[in-house]
Amino acid sequence: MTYAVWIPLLPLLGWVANGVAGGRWGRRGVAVVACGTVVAAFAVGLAVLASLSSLPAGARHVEVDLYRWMAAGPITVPLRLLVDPLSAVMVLVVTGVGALIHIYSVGYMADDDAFARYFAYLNLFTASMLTLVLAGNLVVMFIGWEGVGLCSYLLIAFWFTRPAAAAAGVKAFIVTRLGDVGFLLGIFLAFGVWGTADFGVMTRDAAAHLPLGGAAATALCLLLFLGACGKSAQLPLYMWLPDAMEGPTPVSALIHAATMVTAGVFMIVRMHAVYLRAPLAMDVVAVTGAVTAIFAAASALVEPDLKRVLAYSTISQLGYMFLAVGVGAWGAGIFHLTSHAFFKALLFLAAGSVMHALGGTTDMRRMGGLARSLPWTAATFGAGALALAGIPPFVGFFSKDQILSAGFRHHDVILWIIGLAAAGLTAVYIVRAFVLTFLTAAPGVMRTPGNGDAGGHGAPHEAPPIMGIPTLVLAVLTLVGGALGVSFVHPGVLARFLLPAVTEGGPAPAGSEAGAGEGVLVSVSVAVALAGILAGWLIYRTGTLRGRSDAVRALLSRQFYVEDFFNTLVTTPGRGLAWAFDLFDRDGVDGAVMAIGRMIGRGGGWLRRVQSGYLRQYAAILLIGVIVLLAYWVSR
Amino acid sequence: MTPGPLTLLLAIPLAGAAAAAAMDAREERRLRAIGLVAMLLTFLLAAWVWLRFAPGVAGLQFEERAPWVPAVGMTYHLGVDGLSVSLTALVAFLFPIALGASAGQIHDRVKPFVVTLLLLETGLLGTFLAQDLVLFYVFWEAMLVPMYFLIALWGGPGRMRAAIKFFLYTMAGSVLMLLAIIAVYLNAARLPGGSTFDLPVLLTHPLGVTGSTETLLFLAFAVAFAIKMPVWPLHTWLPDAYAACPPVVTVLLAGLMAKAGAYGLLRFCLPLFPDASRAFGPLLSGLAVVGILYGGAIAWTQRDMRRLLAYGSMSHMGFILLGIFALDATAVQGSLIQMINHGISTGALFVLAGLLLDRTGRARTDEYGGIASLVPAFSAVTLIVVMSSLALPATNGFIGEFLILLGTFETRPAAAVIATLGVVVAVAYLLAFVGRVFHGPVREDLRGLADLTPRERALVVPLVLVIFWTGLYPQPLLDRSAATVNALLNRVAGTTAVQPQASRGGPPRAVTPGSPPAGASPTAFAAGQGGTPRKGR
Repeated sequence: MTYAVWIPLLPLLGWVANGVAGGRWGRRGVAVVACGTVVAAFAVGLAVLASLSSLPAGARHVEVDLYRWMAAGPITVPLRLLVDPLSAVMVLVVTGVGALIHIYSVGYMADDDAFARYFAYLNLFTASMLTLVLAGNLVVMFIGWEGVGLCSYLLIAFWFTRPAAAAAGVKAFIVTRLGDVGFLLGIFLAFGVWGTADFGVMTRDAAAHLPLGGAAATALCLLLFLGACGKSAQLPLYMWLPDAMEGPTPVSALIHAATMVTAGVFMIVRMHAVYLRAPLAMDVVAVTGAVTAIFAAASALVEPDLKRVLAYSTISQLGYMFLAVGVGAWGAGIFHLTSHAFFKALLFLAAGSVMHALGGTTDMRRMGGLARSLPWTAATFGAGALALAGIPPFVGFFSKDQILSAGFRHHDVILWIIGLAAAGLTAVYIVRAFVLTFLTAAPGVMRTPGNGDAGGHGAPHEAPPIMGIPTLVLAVLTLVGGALGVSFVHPGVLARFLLPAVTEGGPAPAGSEAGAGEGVLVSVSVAVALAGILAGWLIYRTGTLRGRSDAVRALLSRQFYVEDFFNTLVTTPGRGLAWAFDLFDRDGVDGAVMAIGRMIGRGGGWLRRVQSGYLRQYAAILLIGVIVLLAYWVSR
Repeated sequence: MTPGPLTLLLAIPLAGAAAAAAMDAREERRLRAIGLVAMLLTFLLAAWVWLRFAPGVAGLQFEERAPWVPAVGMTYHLGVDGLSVSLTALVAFLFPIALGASAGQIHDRVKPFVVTLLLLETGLLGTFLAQDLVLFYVFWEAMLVPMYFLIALWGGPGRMRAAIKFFLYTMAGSVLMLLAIIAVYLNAARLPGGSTFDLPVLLTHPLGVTGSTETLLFLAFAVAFAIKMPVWPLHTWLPDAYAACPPVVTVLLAGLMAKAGAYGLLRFCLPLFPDASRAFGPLLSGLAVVGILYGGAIAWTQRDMRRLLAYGSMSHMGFILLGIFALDATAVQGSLIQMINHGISTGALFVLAGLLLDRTGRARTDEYGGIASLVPAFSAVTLIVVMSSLALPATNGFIGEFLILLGTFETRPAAAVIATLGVVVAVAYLLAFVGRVFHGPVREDLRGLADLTPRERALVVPLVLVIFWTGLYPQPLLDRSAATVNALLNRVAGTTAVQPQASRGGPPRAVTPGSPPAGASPTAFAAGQGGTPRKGR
């Protein structure tokens, strides 16, 4: 299955081609190269899926060694790809959703001067993400891991002449790198434990090398989870993601919703055998996920910016995924990852169509009543919103329900209650966003085109087909994607396919899949979602966003002051320390050195006085010397 | 004895300098051409040596040896091994690029500039090739003098102060080293080999110095090398010198001369004074960690472009020091490859900063803004170099830092954990640099800024190619250093009565027996002097 290497290689070649020569073959050429390579990678992905399915379940683990990347001392790191059901599913999600967003971008970015640069970055991102999911060891995964981080930085700061965009890019890079320190240390620890960071070896020998609940296993899992927190925007490293909305909207859909931010979830599933050796670490993952889910959902309630609402929503949904993998429901985690890729990409693309129609505006206080002029956009956004809220038969219903029931069965009723409460809030905020954008119309809104993002041309109008069709395809996937994991016939198609990849290294904790009482749990979660929708409708249908400046509202709009705490505790002291070092370097270290220099100079000046040129002084010194010598001689 | 390729390597730049010196000073184009031809020939020969170098051999290759002053045991002894072969190639690679980049910077006194540059190249190459202590010392000083003049004559504001500071600092180190060299020589009189300055001969037997004598000698060498690298807190000549130099000279200062310091530690301190190297390992690792974070933090606060890059360079040199004194095969291998990477990446950063300075004359980062939209090709190249500098995987910087930290994590976990924070600091100051200069609103007074010319492309493209080549396929470099590093570490681990123990933080982790390449016996490092399979061809 060596040809799997073409999956990341094709978009990489697209990057090279458009990056080096993109200015020369015009927009059409750039678009064909960029979209063509990703579609081709999707086709190769399908072929890989087919040949993988033809293998017996136990043999669906194919390692492809390209060459020996680095070997030094006792360490050898091959450039190795791992093709198994997990990576195959991820490849299809990345290339599938990726191809749709590439095509959508052709329309969205049509008027941008840096068209070729945009698609070069997007292709490089796709190549990096595919490297990440196909990696055969942690070091190769780190190539992709950092590569997607770089592209995220480049694409957030795509309109770099806007200071906000440039700053948001830097913030994203630094905050995720903070997490990557953990990831790197995790890699080092893995080499310490196994002498390698190969997924096959680590999975197979996890039990042999790591005592259950031992310090090594716990430290390793927590360090890697720190990396996941950065990349997947979990507490406390979430704060870069809302700012990342400064990037073009298709970028938000692809990188900051569907693919890159899910890398942390994927990594934990990839390392599931190791995480099973560290129950404490898994609890940390689950609790972090649950708390983030409700925290971000609450933050989304008061956000006036449409894209930032979706960003908080993404943080919250990623929290669900971590909740799932934290209780060992690997299949449910990946299912929700897939499902979320569909409906959140859909929501972002629909939001992009709104921005396209309004000349780049994202402030919901300046929107309203758009359902009339943008019926398709409203319908597709609505589909995404229902999926997000967890209403059947949309895909989000099935995937979220699996997570909630897994949490319930994990005997952590508290996790289940938090998840349920977050689900209710989710319904409220997304209904609020829908109502404010598409239904209520405040007088005088939306007559002035904004600046920057996309071009506005007069009255709001539907997006061209090249943007409309990918949105529609995602809407269809959102509607029928539930078939991948219909929860009433456990386990779903997806879960069954994933099973060989996620059962090596021991079974998941008991009761993480299927069981009795499903009907009751489902009814409860649907009831909560419906109640949330109703509440959202009742609160926001009047169309006013009057800022009642009560304490709760302030708390929510500052996201519980997490970022302020972070700034006070980390950023400000760090900056102060750097300035102190600078001062110390000039006045302390260099000052000391220069003082020594001056001392030598002064000593020389003093000695020079001896060389006065006066004969009588020399004679006197000579005399003193003779006397001292004589005295020495006499006294011994 | 007919001169071998290494003598030729020293002779070509010297002959170029002589030819240039004989020319009319007004023929600037031809002077530059002569210099370029000499440097390119040197590079071709160095590349040939690098390609013909046999990996897997611990000892010296292409060895040349002739009596020099036999009465006092000085020999003209040249050779390359795993420590020096790639560094030699790096020297020969960077010089033509620096000369090419000087076209926009050096307009007056071209003739002495070309001559001085060629003399500096001979000095640097000799430093990496010499195998005799006195010969090494001669070359070490021979690169100091041209560098002094390059700063003092062609530098910017504050150049005299910077040049004198540089000269005094490094002279102080050199004097200590000279005393130590003489002490080693006198001490060797008691050895079966007799008094000699010939390093491989000295290493055939344990030096026999112990206790405080060894400590003093080790420190004398180490301080000289630490100043050159520089190691915190002996670094304060660096920001002044880097900022006062013409940028092309900074390329050589940061890209190459700093490596001479790190190389000296590996070539002399570790094998001559193994006990002291182990004893001072924790201290030097600590200084390395301080240097990484301290240099990076200060770089973050700098507004002068070259001072920012200077402190950043110092921060990165900390990783190299950390890897050396981890005394672990993986880490030392990482340090060696990181020396090459640092030469390429920091060299490239200063080349680019120089091109920018030539165009605008603006030294401060906040005098720029948004130039990424004005000069896209220049910005793309800068971005690639910045990414290699902050060790993004698939670029060269990652290979070095990863191996260093991975190896250090085995022997000195605490130092490795703190040093890993350095990767965040590097992002902070490098992206601050990119943010202030390339991003943000476009400064109207910079409109019309010219993008890379074909000549400048020819200078930066080779650097970019090396960045990706080393990042994706570093094995040719690693293979060339493996055997020598193993032999060196076995020597450091096993020369004295100290029991080899498996505990962490103890003696270096010896490579498991039987792992390729073979020949990593404790004596191979010294015995390798006979291992010159390609000699005489």
